[in-house]
Amino acid sequence: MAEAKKSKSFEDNLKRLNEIVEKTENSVLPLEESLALYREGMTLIKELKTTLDKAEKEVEKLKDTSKE
Amino acid sequence: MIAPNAIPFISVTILNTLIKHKLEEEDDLRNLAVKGEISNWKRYRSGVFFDLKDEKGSIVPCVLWSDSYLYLPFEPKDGDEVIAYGNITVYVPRGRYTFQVSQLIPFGQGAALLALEALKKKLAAEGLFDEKRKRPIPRFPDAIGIIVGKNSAAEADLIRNLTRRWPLTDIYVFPAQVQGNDAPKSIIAALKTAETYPLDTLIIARGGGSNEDLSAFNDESLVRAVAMCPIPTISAVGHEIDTTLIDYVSDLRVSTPTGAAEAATPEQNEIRRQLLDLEARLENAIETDFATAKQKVEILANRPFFTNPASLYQNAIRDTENLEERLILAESHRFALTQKQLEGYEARLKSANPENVIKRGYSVTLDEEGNPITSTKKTRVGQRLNTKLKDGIIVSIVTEGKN
Repeated sequence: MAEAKKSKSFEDNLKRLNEIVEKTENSVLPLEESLALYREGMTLIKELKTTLDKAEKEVEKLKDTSKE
Repeated sequence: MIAPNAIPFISVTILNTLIKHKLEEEDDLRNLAVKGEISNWKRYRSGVFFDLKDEKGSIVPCVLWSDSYLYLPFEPKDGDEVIAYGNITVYVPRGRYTFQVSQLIPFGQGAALLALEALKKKLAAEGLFDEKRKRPIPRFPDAIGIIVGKNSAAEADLIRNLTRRWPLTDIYVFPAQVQGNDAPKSIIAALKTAETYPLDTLIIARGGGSNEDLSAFNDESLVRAVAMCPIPTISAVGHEIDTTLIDYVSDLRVSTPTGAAEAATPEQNEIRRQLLDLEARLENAIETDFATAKQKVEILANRPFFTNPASLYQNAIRDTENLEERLILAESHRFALTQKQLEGYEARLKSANPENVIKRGYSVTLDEEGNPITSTKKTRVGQRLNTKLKDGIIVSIVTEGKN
Protein backbone atom coordinates (compact mmCIF):
# COMPACT_ATOMS: atom_id res chain seq x y z
CA MET A 1 0.00 0.00 0.00
CA ALA A 2 2.99 2.26 -0.52
CA GLU A 3 1.43 3.98 -3.50
CA ALA A 4 -2.03 5.02 -2.57
CA LYS A 5 -4.77 4.02 -4.97
CA LYS A 6 -2.75 3.99 -8.14
CA SER A 7 -5.17 1.73 -10.00
CA LYS A 8 -8.13 3.70 -8.79
CA SER A 9 -6.70 6.87 -10.24
CA PHE A 10 -5.84 4.90 -13.35
CA GLU A 11 -9.47 3.85 -13.66
CA ASP A 12 -10.69 7.40 -13.01
CA ASN A 13 -8.25 8.84 -15.54
CA LEU A 14 -9.22 6.27 -18.15
CA LYS A 15 -12.88 7.08 -17.54
CA ARG A 16 -12.19 10.81 -17.89
CA LEU A 17 -10.23 10.15 -21.08
CA ASN A 18 -13.14 8.21 -22.54
CA GLU A 19 -15.48 11.07 -21.64
CA ILE A 20 -13.19 13.57 -23.34
CA VAL A 21 -12.96 11.54 -26.54
CA GLU A 22 -16.72 10.97 -26.61
CA LYS A 23 -17.32 14.66 -26.05
CA THR A 24 -14.92 15.83 -28.73
CA GLU A 25 -16.31 13.29 -31.18
CA ASN A 26 -19.97 13.75 -30.56
CA SER A 27 -20.51 17.44 -29.98
CA VAL A 28 -19.66 20.65 -31.69
CA LEU A 29 -17.60 22.66 -29.26
CA PRO A 30 -15.99 26.07 -29.45
CA LEU A 31 -12.44 25.62 -30.71
CA GLU A 32 -10.93 26.85 -27.44
CA GLU A 33 -12.86 24.20 -25.55
CA SER A 34 -11.90 21.45 -28.00
CA LEU A 35 -8.31 22.49 -27.71
CA ALA A 36 -8.46 22.47 -23.91
CA LEU A 37 -10.04 18.99 -23.96
CA TYR A 38 -7.45 17.80 -26.47
CA ARG A 39 -4.63 18.99 -24.24
CA GLU A 40 -6.20 17.39 -21.18
CA GLY A 41 -6.75 14.13 -23.08
CA MET A 42 -3.19 14.02 -24.38
CA THR A 43 -1.85 14.67 -20.89
CA LEU A 44 -4.01 11.83 -19.52
CA ILE A 45 -2.82 9.43 -22.24
CA LYS A 46 0.78 10.25 -21.45
CA GLU A 47 0.20 9.80 -17.72
CA LEU A 48 -1.61 6.50 -18.18
CA LYS A 49 1.10 5.12 -20.46
CA THR A 50 3.80 6.22 -18.05
CA THR A 51 1.95 4.64 -15.13
CA LEU A 52 1.76 1.32 -16.99
CA ASP A 53 5.38 1.50 -18.10
CA LYS A 54 6.69 2.27 -14.66
CA ALA A 55 4.48 -0.18 -12.78
CA GLU A 56 6.35 -2.51 -10.53
CA LYS A 57 4.77 -5.62 -9.22
CA GLU A 58 4.57 -5.92 -5.53
CA VAL A 59 4.00 -9.35 -4.10
CA GLU A 60 3.79 -9.77 -0.42
CA LYS A 61 3.74 -13.27 0.95
CA LEU A 62 2.19 -13.50 4.33
CA LYS A 63 2.88 -16.03 6.96
CA ASP A 64 0.54 -18.97 7.06
CA THR A 65 -1.61 -18.09 10.00
CA SER A 66 -2.74 -21.64 10.57
CA LYS A 67 -0.33 -24.21 11.89
CA GLU A 68 1.96 -25.69 9.28
CA MET B 1 -66.13 -71.02 -40.01
CA ILE B 2 -65.70 -67.55 -38.75
CA ALA B 3 -64.21 -65.22 -41.31
CA PRO B 4 -60.77 -63.98 -40.13
CA ASN B 5 -61.92 -60.43 -40.50
CA ALA B 6 -64.65 -60.95 -37.93
CA ILE B 7 -62.12 -61.51 -35.10
CA PRO B 8 -61.68 -58.26 -33.10
CA PHE B 9 -58.09 -57.01 -33.40
CA ILE B 10 -55.98 -54.00 -32.43
CA SER B 11 -53.02 -52.28 -34.07
CA VAL B 12 -49.41 -52.64 -32.88
CA THR B 13 -49.40 -49.00 -31.84
CA ILE B 14 -52.43 -49.54 -29.67
CA LEU B 15 -50.82 -52.64 -28.15
CA ASN B 16 -47.64 -50.69 -27.36
CA THR B 17 -49.64 -47.78 -26.03
CA LEU B 18 -51.61 -50.08 -23.74
CA ILE B 19 -48.36 -51.54 -22.40
CA LYS B 20 -46.95 -48.02 -22.00
CA HIS B 21 -49.91 -46.97 -19.87
CA LYS B 22 -49.80 -50.18 -17.86
CA LEU B 23 -46.09 -49.87 -17.06
CA GLU B 24 -45.90 -46.14 -16.54
CA GLU B 25 -48.84 -46.12 -14.16
CA GLU B 26 -47.53 -49.07 -12.15
CA ASP B 27 -46.48 -47.75 -8.72
CA ASP B 28 -43.83 -50.44 -8.30
CA LEU B 29 -42.06 -49.12 -11.38
CA ARG B 30 -41.99 -45.49 -10.30
CA ASN B 31 -39.28 -43.65 -8.28
CA LEU B 32 -36.90 -46.55 -8.54
CA ALA B 33 -33.31 -46.67 -7.33
CA VAL B 34 -31.46 -49.24 -9.42
CA LYS B 35 -27.92 -50.37 -8.79
CA GLY B 36 -25.83 -51.43 -11.78
CA GLU B 37 -22.73 -50.95 -13.86
CA ILE B 38 -22.65 -48.45 -16.70
CA SER B 39 -21.94 -49.70 -20.23
CA ASN B 40 -22.31 -48.27 -23.73
CA TRP B 41 -22.29 -44.69 -22.35
CA LYS B 42 -23.10 -42.50 -25.39
CA ARG B 43 -23.66 -38.76 -25.23
CA TYR B 44 -25.84 -36.98 -27.74
CA ARG B 45 -27.15 -33.45 -27.87
CA SER B 46 -30.51 -34.56 -26.47
CA GLY B 47 -29.03 -36.63 -23.67
CA VAL B 48 -27.08 -39.74 -22.74
CA PHE B 49 -28.05 -43.31 -23.73
CA PHE B 50 -26.48 -46.19 -21.86
CA ASP B 51 -27.14 -49.62 -20.36
CA LEU B 52 -27.14 -50.67 -16.76
CA LYS B 53 -26.13 -54.24 -16.15
CA ASP B 54 -25.66 -56.39 -13.08
CA GLU B 55 -23.36 -59.27 -12.21
CA LYS B 56 -25.86 -61.76 -13.68
CA GLY B 57 -25.59 -60.01 -17.05
CA SER B 58 -29.12 -58.59 -17.03
CA ILE B 59 -29.32 -55.35 -18.93
CA VAL B 60 -31.78 -52.46 -18.92
CA PRO B 61 -31.53 -49.66 -21.53
CA CYS B 62 -31.37 -46.23 -19.90
CA VAL B 63 -31.71 -42.64 -20.99
CA LEU B 64 -30.55 -39.51 -19.18
CA TRP B 65 -31.91 -36.34 -20.78
CA SER B 66 -29.67 -33.29 -21.13
CA ASP B 67 -31.39 -31.22 -18.46
CA SER B 68 -30.75 -34.01 -15.91
CA TYR B 69 -27.25 -34.59 -17.21
CA LEU B 70 -26.29 -30.99 -16.38
CA TYR B 71 -26.98 -31.61 -12.72
CA LEU B 72 -24.92 -34.78 -12.31
CA PRO B 73 -22.51 -34.53 -9.36
CA PHE B 74 -19.81 -36.35 -11.37
CA GLU B 75 -18.85 -37.44 -14.88
CA PRO B 76 -19.87 -41.13 -15.23
CA LYS B 77 -18.08 -43.54 -17.55
CA ASP B 78 -18.35 -47.16 -18.64
CA GLY B 79 -17.66 -49.58 -15.82
CA ASP B 80 -18.78 -47.21 -13.02
CA GLU B 81 -20.93 -48.78 -10.33
CA VAL B 82 -23.81 -46.44 -9.83
CA ILE B 83 -27.23 -46.06 -8.34
CA ALA B 84 -29.66 -44.67 -10.88
CA TYR B 85 -32.88 -42.93 -9.81
CA GLY B 86 -35.81 -42.76 -12.21
CA ASN B 87 -38.94 -44.26 -13.77
CA ILE B 88 -39.79 -46.85 -16.42
CA THR B 89 -41.06 -45.45 -19.70
CA VAL B 90 -42.09 -47.15 -22.92
CA TYR B 91 -41.04 -46.03 -26.36
CA VAL B 92 -44.15 -46.85 -28.40
CA PRO B 93 -42.65 -47.00 -31.96
CA ARG B 94 -40.16 -49.69 -30.90
CA GLY B 95 -42.17 -51.50 -28.27
CA ARG B 96 -39.22 -51.04 -25.99
CA TYR B 97 -39.11 -50.07 -22.37
CA THR B 98 -36.43 -47.78 -21.04
CA PHE B 99 -35.29 -46.71 -17.61
CA GLN B 100 -35.48 -42.92 -17.66
CA VAL B 101 -32.83 -41.73 -15.23
CA SER B 102 -33.12 -38.40 -13.42
CA GLN B 103 -30.15 -38.71 -11.07
CA LEU B 104 -27.06 -40.85 -11.07
CA ILE B 105 -24.64 -41.17 -8.17
CA PRO B 106 -21.54 -43.28 -7.79
CA PHE B 107 -22.16 -46.38 -5.66
CA GLY B 108 -20.28 -46.24 -2.40
CA GLN B 109 -20.07 -42.45 -2.32
CA GLY B 110 -23.81 -42.27 -2.49
CA ALA B 111 -24.30 -41.31 1.13
CA ALA B 112 -21.70 -38.54 1.03
CA LEU B 113 -23.11 -37.19 -2.20
CA LEU B 114 -26.63 -37.20 -0.85
CA ALA B 115 -25.41 -35.33 2.24
CA LEU B 116 -23.72 -32.83 -0.02
CA GLU B 117 -26.89 -32.41 -2.08
CA ALA B 118 -28.83 -31.84 1.13
CA LEU B 119 -26.34 -29.21 2.32
CA LYS B 120 -26.46 -27.52 -1.06
CA LYS B 121 -30.27 -27.40 -0.94
CA LYS B 122 -30.20 -25.99 2.61
CA LEU B 123 -27.71 -23.23 1.74
CA ALA B 124 -29.56 -22.44 -1.46
CA ALA B 125 -32.81 -22.17 0.51
CA GLU B 126 -31.08 -19.65 2.81
CA GLY B 127 -30.34 -17.59 -0.28
CA LEU B 128 -26.54 -17.93 -0.03
CA PHE B 129 -26.25 -18.79 -3.71
CA ASP B 130 -28.62 -16.08 -4.96
CA GLU B 131 -27.49 -14.20 -8.04
CA LYS B 132 -28.45 -10.92 -6.42
CA ARG B 133 -25.86 -11.48 -3.70
CA LYS B 134 -23.10 -11.58 -6.30
CA ARG B 135 -20.93 -8.49 -6.29
CA PRO B 136 -19.11 -7.28 -9.37
CA ILE B 137 -15.37 -7.94 -9.44
CA PRO B 138 -13.52 -4.57 -9.51
CA ARG B 139 -12.12 -3.96 -12.96
CA PHE B 140 -8.99 -2.07 -11.91
CA PRO B 141 -7.93 -3.56 -8.56
CA ASP B 142 -5.21 -1.98 -6.44
CA ALA B 143 -4.70 -5.02 -4.30
CA ILE B 144 -5.63 -8.65 -4.77
CA GLY B 145 -5.41 -11.34 -2.12
CA ILE B 146 -4.91 -14.95 -3.05
CA ILE B 147 -5.62 -17.92 -0.81
CA VAL B 148 -3.60 -20.84 -2.14
CA GLY B 149 -1.63 -23.87 -1.07
CA LYS B 150 1.84 -22.82 0.06
CA ASN B 151 4.22 -22.79 -2.94
CA SER B 152 1.53 -24.48 -5.03
CA ALA B 153 1.28 -24.46 -8.81
CA ALA B 154 -1.89 -22.39 -8.40
CA GLU B 155 0.08 -19.72 -6.51
CA ALA B 156 2.78 -19.53 -9.19
CA ASP B 157 0.21 -19.47 -11.95
CA LEU B 158 -1.78 -16.69 -10.29
CA ILE B 159 1.23 -14.49 -9.52
CA ARG B 160 2.62 -14.90 -13.03
CA ASN B 161 -0.66 -14.09 -14.76
CA LEU B 162 -1.72 -11.29 -12.43
CA THR B 163 1.59 -9.43 -12.74
CA ARG B 164 1.78 -9.97 -16.47
CA ARG B 165 -1.76 -8.73 -17.04
CA TRP B 166 -1.93 -5.83 -14.62
CA PRO B 167 1.32 -4.82 -12.92
CA LEU B 168 -0.42 -2.00 -11.06
CA THR B 169 -1.98 -4.50 -8.68
CA ASP B 170 -0.33 -5.50 -5.41
CA ILE B 171 -0.67 -9.16 -4.62
CA TYR B 172 -1.05 -10.50 -1.10
CA VAL B 173 -0.54 -14.22 -0.71
CA PHE B 174 -2.39 -15.94 2.13
CA PRO B 175 -1.10 -19.53 2.28
CA ALA B 176 -3.47 -22.21 3.57
CA GLN B 177 -3.81 -25.95 3.64
CA VAL B 178 -6.10 -26.74 0.77
CA GLN B 179 -6.36 -30.48 1.36
CA GLY B 180 -7.01 -32.76 4.27
CA ASN B 181 -9.14 -32.60 7.39
CA ASP B 182 -7.64 -29.32 8.61
CA ALA B 183 -8.09 -27.61 5.27
CA PRO B 184 -11.48 -25.92 5.98
CA LYS B 185 -10.19 -24.45 9.25
CA SER B 186 -6.94 -23.32 7.60
CA ILE B 187 -8.74 -21.69 4.69
CA ILE B 188 -11.17 -19.92 7.03
CA ALA B 189 -8.21 -18.57 9.05
CA ALA B 190 -6.57 -17.29 5.85
CA LEU B 191 -9.89 -15.72 4.84
CA LYS B 192 -10.17 -13.92 8.18
CA THR B 193 -6.62 -12.60 7.86
CA ALA B 194 -7.26 -11.48 4.30
CA GLU B 195 -10.31 -9.55 5.49
CA THR B 196 -8.07 -7.29 7.59
CA TYR B 197 -6.27 -6.07 4.44
CA PRO B 198 -7.64 -3.39 2.11
CA LEU B 199 -8.15 -5.82 -0.76
CA ASP B 200 -10.28 -5.19 -3.82
CA THR B 201 -10.60 -8.85 -4.75
CA LEU B 202 -9.92 -12.16 -3.08
CA ILE B 203 -9.12 -15.30 -5.07
CA ILE B 204 -9.39 -18.77 -3.56
CA ALA B 205 -7.55 -21.18 -5.82
CA ARG B 206 -6.60 -24.80 -5.92
CA GLY B 207 -5.64 -27.11 -8.74
CA GLY B 208 -7.65 -30.17 -9.70
CA GLY B 209 -7.91 -33.29 -7.60
CA SER B 210 -10.20 -36.13 -6.69
CA ASN B 211 -13.57 -35.47 -5.13
CA GLU B 212 -11.97 -36.39 -1.82
CA ASP B 213 -9.25 -33.78 -2.32
CA LEU B 214 -11.74 -31.07 -3.09
CA SER B 215 -14.13 -31.94 -0.28
CA ALA B 216 -12.69 -29.16 1.92
CA PHE B 217 -14.36 -26.67 -0.40
CA ASN B 218 -17.75 -28.20 0.36
CA ASP B 219 -17.34 -27.55 4.08
CA GLU B 220 -20.34 -25.75 5.50
CA SER B 221 -18.34 -23.40 7.79
CA LEU B 222 -16.06 -22.47 4.91
CA VAL B 223 -18.97 -21.85 2.56
CA ARG B 224 -20.60 -19.62 5.17
CA ALA B 225 -17.30 -17.78 5.81
CA VAL B 226 -16.96 -17.06 2.08
CA ALA B 227 -20.58 -15.86 2.01
CA MET B 228 -19.78 -13.41 4.84
CA CYS B 229 -16.53 -12.18 3.30
CA PRO B 230 -16.73 -8.41 2.73
CA ILE B 231 -14.33 -8.65 -0.22
CA PRO B 232 -15.62 -9.80 -3.63
CA THR B 233 -14.40 -13.36 -4.05
CA ILE B 234 -13.44 -15.49 -7.02
CA SER B 235 -13.25 -19.25 -6.61
CA ALA B 236 -10.96 -21.26 -8.85
CA VAL B 237 -11.07 -24.72 -7.41
CA GLY B 238 -10.45 -27.94 -9.32
CA HIS B 239 -11.10 -28.32 -13.01
CA GLU B 240 -13.96 -27.38 -15.29
CA ILE B 241 -16.11 -30.35 -14.30
CA ASP B 242 -15.47 -30.08 -10.57
CA THR B 243 -17.98 -27.97 -8.79
CA THR B 244 -17.74 -27.35 -5.09
CA LEU B 245 -20.07 -25.40 -2.86
CA ILE B 246 -17.76 -22.41 -2.59
CA ASP B 247 -18.19 -22.03 -6.36
CA TYR B 248 -21.88 -21.33 -5.72
CA VAL B 249 -21.28 -18.87 -2.92
CA SER B 250 -18.41 -16.94 -4.49
CA ASP B 251 -19.13 -13.78 -6.42
CA LEU B 252 -17.55 -15.39 -9.45
CA ARG B 253 -16.61 -18.93 -10.26
CA VAL B 254 -13.86 -19.79 -12.74
CA SER B 255 -12.33 -23.15 -13.50
CA THR B 256 -8.58 -22.41 -13.35
CA PRO B 257 -6.13 -20.05 -11.62
CA THR B 258 -5.40 -18.52 -15.03
CA GLY B 259 -9.12 -17.89 -15.46
CA ALA B 260 -9.15 -16.23 -12.04
CA ALA B 261 -6.32 -13.88 -13.05
CA GLU B 262 -8.23 -13.02 -16.21
CA ALA B 263 -11.40 -12.29 -14.27
CA ALA B 264 -9.60 -10.22 -11.64
CA THR B 265 -7.52 -7.90 -13.80
CA PRO B 266 -7.61 -6.05 -17.08
CA GLU B 267 -5.06 -7.08 -19.69
CA GLN B 268 -2.48 -4.29 -19.92
CA ASN B 269 -1.94 -4.81 -23.66
CA GLU B 270 -5.66 -4.46 -24.17
CA ILE B 271 -5.59 -1.21 -22.18
CA ARG B 272 -2.56 0.00 -24.13
CA ARG B 273 -4.40 -0.68 -27.39
CA GLN B 274 -7.37 1.18 -25.99
CA LEU B 275 -5.12 4.14 -25.17
CA LEU B 276 -3.73 4.14 -28.72
CA ASP B 277 -7.24 4.07 -30.09
CA LEU B 278 -8.36 6.89 -27.82
CA GLU B 279 -5.31 8.92 -28.80
CA ALA B 280 -6.08 8.46 -32.50
CA ARG B 281 -9.71 9.38 -31.96
CA LEU B 282 -8.76 12.45 -29.97
CA GLU B 283 -6.30 13.56 -32.68
CA ASN B 284 -8.94 12.99 -35.28
CA ALA B 285 -11.57 14.91 -33.34
CA ILE B 286 -9.32 17.93 -32.84
CA GLU B 287 -8.31 17.87 -36.50
CA THR B 288 -11.94 17.79 -37.51
CA ASP B 289 -12.67 20.69 -35.18
CA PHE B 290 -9.81 22.66 -36.66
CA ALA B 291 -10.89 21.88 -40.20
CA THR B 292 -14.42 22.94 -39.37
CA ALA B 293 -13.21 26.16 -37.81
CA LYS B 294 -10.96 26.81 -40.80
CA GLN B 295 -13.84 26.22 -43.16
CA LYS B 296 -16.00 28.64 -41.21
CA VAL B 297 -13.30 31.30 -41.42
CA GLU B 298 -12.94 30.65 -45.15
CA ILE B 299 -16.65 30.99 -45.72
CA LEU B 300 -16.58 34.31 -43.89
CA ALA B 301 -13.44 35.42 -45.71
CA ASN B 302 -15.14 34.73 -49.03
CA ARG B 303 -18.07 36.97 -48.21
CA PRO B 304 -18.23 40.16 -50.49
CA PHE B 305 -17.55 42.28 -47.44
CA PHE B 306 -13.97 40.96 -47.46
CA THR B 307 -13.42 40.10 -51.11
CA ASN B 308 -14.79 43.48 -52.37
CA PRO B 309 -14.74 46.02 -49.58
CA ALA B 310 -15.79 48.76 -52.07
CA SER B 311 -19.20 47.13 -52.17
CA LEU B 312 -19.82 48.76 -48.83
CA TYR B 313 -19.83 52.32 -50.26
CA GLN B 314 -20.64 51.43 -53.86
CA ASN B 315 -24.27 52.14 -53.13
CA ALA B 316 -23.38 55.42 -51.59
CA ILE B 317 -21.33 56.28 -54.67
CA ARG B 318 -24.18 55.29 -56.93
CA ASP B 319 -26.64 57.34 -54.90
CA THR B 320 -24.37 60.34 -55.02
CA GLU B 321 -23.93 59.99 -58.74
CA ASN B 322 -27.64 59.77 -59.20
CA LEU B 323 -28.21 62.89 -57.22
CA GLU B 324 -25.52 64.69 -59.18
CA GLU B 325 -27.10 63.66 -62.47
CA ARG B 326 -30.47 64.80 -61.33
CA LEU B 327 -29.03 68.06 -60.17
CA ILE B 328 -27.35 68.68 -63.54
CA LEU B 329 -30.51 67.77 -65.36
CA ALA B 330 -32.59 70.04 -63.23
CA GLU B 331 -30.08 72.80 -63.69
CA SER B 332 -30.12 72.44 -67.45
CA HIS B 333 -33.90 72.45 -67.46
CA ARG B 334 -33.98 75.61 -65.53
CA PHE B 335 -31.42 77.15 -67.85
CA ALA B 336 -33.44 76.22 -70.92
CA LEU B 337 -36.51 77.70 -69.35
CA THR B 338 -34.79 80.96 -68.55
CA GLN B 339 -33.50 81.21 -72.07
CA LYS B 340 -36.99 80.72 -73.44
CA GLN B 341 -38.30 83.41 -71.12
CA LEU B 342 -35.58 85.74 -72.25
CA GLU B 343 -36.46 85.06 -75.85
CA GLY B 344 -40.07 85.80 -75.03
CA TYR B 345 -39.13 89.03 -73.40
CA GLU B 346 -36.95 89.93 -76.31
CA ALA B 347 -39.79 89.25 -78.71
CA ARG B 348 -42.11 91.31 -76.65
CA LEU B 349 -39.54 94.02 -76.36
CA LYS B 350 -39.00 93.90 -80.10
CA SER B 351 -42.67 94.24 -80.77
CA ALA B 352 -42.78 97.19 -78.37
CA ASN B 353 -40.00 98.99 -80.35
CA PRO B 354 -41.61 101.98 -82.05
CA GLU B 355 -39.41 101.35 -85.06
CA ASN B 356 -41.30 98.20 -85.61
CA VAL B 357 -44.62 100.00 -85.29
CA ILE B 358 -43.40 102.43 -87.92
CA LYS B 359 -42.37 99.55 -90.07
CA ARG B 360 -45.93 98.35 -89.95
CA GLY B 361 -47.08 101.71 -91.43
CA TYR B 362 -47.50 103.83 -88.37
CA SER B 363 -45.61 107.02 -87.70
CA VAL B 364 -44.15 108.82 -84.76
CA THR B 365 -43.72 112.48 -84.27
CA LEU B 366 -40.67 113.78 -82.44
CA ASP B 367 -39.62 117.20 -81.27
CA GLU B 368 -36.31 118.73 -82.18
CA GLU B 369 -34.59 116.79 -79.42
CA GLY B 370 -36.06 113.52 -80.67
CA ASN B 371 -38.59 113.14 -77.88
CA PRO B 372 -41.88 111.68 -79.00
CA ILE B 373 -44.88 114.04 -79.02
CA THR B 374 -47.47 112.12 -77.06
CA SER B 375 -49.80 115.01 -76.19
CA THR B 376 -50.99 118.21 -77.84
CA LYS B 377 -49.94 119.98 -74.73
CA LYS B 378 -46.33 119.14 -75.50
CA THR B 379 -46.40 121.19 -78.67
CA ARG B 380 -46.45 124.86 -79.36
CA VAL B 381 -47.25 126.75 -82.49
CA GLY B 382 -44.31 127.26 -84.76
CA GLN B 383 -42.46 124.27 -83.38
CA ARG B 384 -40.63 122.16 -85.82
CA LEU B 385 -41.67 118.53 -85.70
CA ASN B 386 -40.15 115.56 -87.35
CA THR B 387 -42.61 112.83 -88.27
CA LYS B 388 -40.90 109.53 -88.77
CA LEU B 389 -42.39 107.16 -91.34
CA LYS B 390 -41.13 103.85 -92.57
CA ASP B 391 -39.57 105.39 -95.67
CA GLY B 392 -38.47 108.78 -94.38
CA ILE B 393 -39.06 111.83 -92.26
CA ILE B 394 -41.60 114.61 -92.86
CA VAL B 395 -40.59 117.91 -91.34
CA SER B 396 -43.53 120.11 -90.47
CA ILE B 397 -44.32 123.29 -88.54
CA VAL B 398 -47.12 123.34 -85.94
CA THR B 399 -49.75 125.79 -86.98
CA GLU B 400 -52.45 124.86 -84.57
CA GLY B 401 -53.10 122.44 -81.73
CA LYS B 402 -56.58 121.13 -81.16
CA ASN B 403 -57.99 119.17 -78.30
